[in-house]
Amino acid sequence: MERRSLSPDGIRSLFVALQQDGFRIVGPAPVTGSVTFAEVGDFDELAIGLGLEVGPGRARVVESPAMFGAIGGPESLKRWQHAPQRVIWAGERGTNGFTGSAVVEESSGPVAFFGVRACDLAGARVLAKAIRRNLDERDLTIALRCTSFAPTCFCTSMGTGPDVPEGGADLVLTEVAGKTRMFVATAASPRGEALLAKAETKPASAADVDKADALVREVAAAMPRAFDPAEARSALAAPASGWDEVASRCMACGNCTAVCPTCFCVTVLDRTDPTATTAERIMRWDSCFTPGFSEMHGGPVRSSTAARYRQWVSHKVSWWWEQFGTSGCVGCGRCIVWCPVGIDIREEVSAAIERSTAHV
Amino acid sequence: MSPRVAVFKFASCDGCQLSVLDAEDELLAIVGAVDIVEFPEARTRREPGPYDVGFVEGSITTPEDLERIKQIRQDCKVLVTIGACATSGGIQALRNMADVGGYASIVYAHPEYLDVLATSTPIADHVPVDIQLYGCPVSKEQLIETITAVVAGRRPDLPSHSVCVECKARGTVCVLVTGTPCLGPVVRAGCGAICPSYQRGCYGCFGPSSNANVASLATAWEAVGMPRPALARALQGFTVGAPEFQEAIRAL
Repeated sequence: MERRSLSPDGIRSLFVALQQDGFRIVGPAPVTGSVTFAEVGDFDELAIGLGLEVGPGRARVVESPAMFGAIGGPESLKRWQHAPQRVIWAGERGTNGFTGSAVVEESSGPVAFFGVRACDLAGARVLAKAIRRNLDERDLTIALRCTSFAPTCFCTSMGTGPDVPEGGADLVLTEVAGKTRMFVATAASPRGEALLAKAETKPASAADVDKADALVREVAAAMPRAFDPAEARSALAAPASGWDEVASRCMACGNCTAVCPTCFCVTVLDRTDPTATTAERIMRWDSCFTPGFSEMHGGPVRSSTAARYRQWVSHKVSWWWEQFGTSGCVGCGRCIVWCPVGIDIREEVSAAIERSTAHV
Repeated sequence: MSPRVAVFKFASCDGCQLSVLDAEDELLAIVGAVDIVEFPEARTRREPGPYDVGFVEGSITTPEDLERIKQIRQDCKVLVTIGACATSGGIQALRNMADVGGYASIVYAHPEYLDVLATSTPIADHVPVDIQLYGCPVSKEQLIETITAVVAGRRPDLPSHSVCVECKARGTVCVLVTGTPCLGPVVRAGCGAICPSYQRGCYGCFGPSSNANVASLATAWEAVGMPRPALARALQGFTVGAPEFQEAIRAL
């Protein structure tokens, strides 16, 4: 498809076109202490000219030369795809016991996800397999190819970025930094094409297109390799010891699973009103790090933090393949940034691979 | 017949009992569902046991308390402790690391009139407890949830995981990772993660979470410029008496 170029005003016109089409817009926004995906009502609510300086267990908002420079904020698309809590059943006590029915959520309108990265899109695809629920088919994705990366990024190792795969989004933008900010846009679906037609654009020059592609290639070349997914899959498939050291640092607080774009585990519980006449069944996010997660008669199956960390990381990079035909890790690095003590999944998986080969 | 409910007080500030009265929107429904027969904070008429459910506020600090809690346990089918004092000894457990006689001589003109124990201890150190509601004060939501669960004959939803789970569910950006010291990763959820939603670190009102790893949290505090003694001081709050925090304070 023909590639177009957009100025910052062109991006604004794209935003306005989305609003006119009735979309709620989720994009990178300044949220107290960070920049992350949030619903915005106005173009100026987006985090323009802001970036994030991130590292293991650390994030600070900084100025960015790029218009949309923040990578590594805590929110992925998970919150919109898989709500933290929802009512799935409601019932009322009658003369013959409880009668009730499943509660189907009312959609609050189609969402346009603006400025999503290749890893975010990969996360949404992987999560959709696990929860058997895609983003709403009326939703729209406007991707932003990465022209920089954070020290916590490892999408190239997981094969999920920095480029957006064919069909991965409706519209793909690449920000070309220069004296003036400029974006190269490629419509990747008929809906993306229709949207682009409503925005202020110009045909992109061959030089701009080349520059945009080169920037993404440079990111791909410069990002350090983390671990080999195939090695991780086999090395972590079998039960093995060696998790005590990481468990001495792990607080079992559950932050990694909450920020992970693919961690889908939930708990289901019932609520009643004080007179026990109405009841609701609630589904809410859980984590394999909570004691209740593996609790059966008598107590939790995995009571030690070492057992819980092993469960999380082994499922993520190994057993996920058997279950869903893909890795559960997309290399976004959120678990590294938002772990308060900066536990680095790259190091832990690499160490586990090393332990498994040392035993052979 | 509605379940007979009693509310008792030991060494405490009455704040948790006030949380019961603070449940304004739900109070009428609760009063309709249960029969509150003993509640000295709220009513003058008192009825003797046995009770179906007894809520106990406060910690054990006197020889008399030791006897009274045993009788209450005998009188209550289900015993629920409410608040940081009842579950970990409260702020008054600071004396567990000091000489109570020394404090008494500073505060009272005639300390010889006092008859107190050397320590302030939680109810569960003395009698078996069925349900514990943590917090300073307890969460109104958890209190209502517990009463409704007991009425409905189901298990109340009282998670023992960290405050972080609540922060993430409500979409609060981690204050610790962004530079503010916070006890959240080692503290039990239940308050709804209020303080971090106002960009303040967690103060630990609900006491330690399960699998609390304070030694590791110390490295995160150091990373935001708070040395180990500062973390030890931060743990000496409303839940200072919790064994996990006592151990950490000694180690830090």
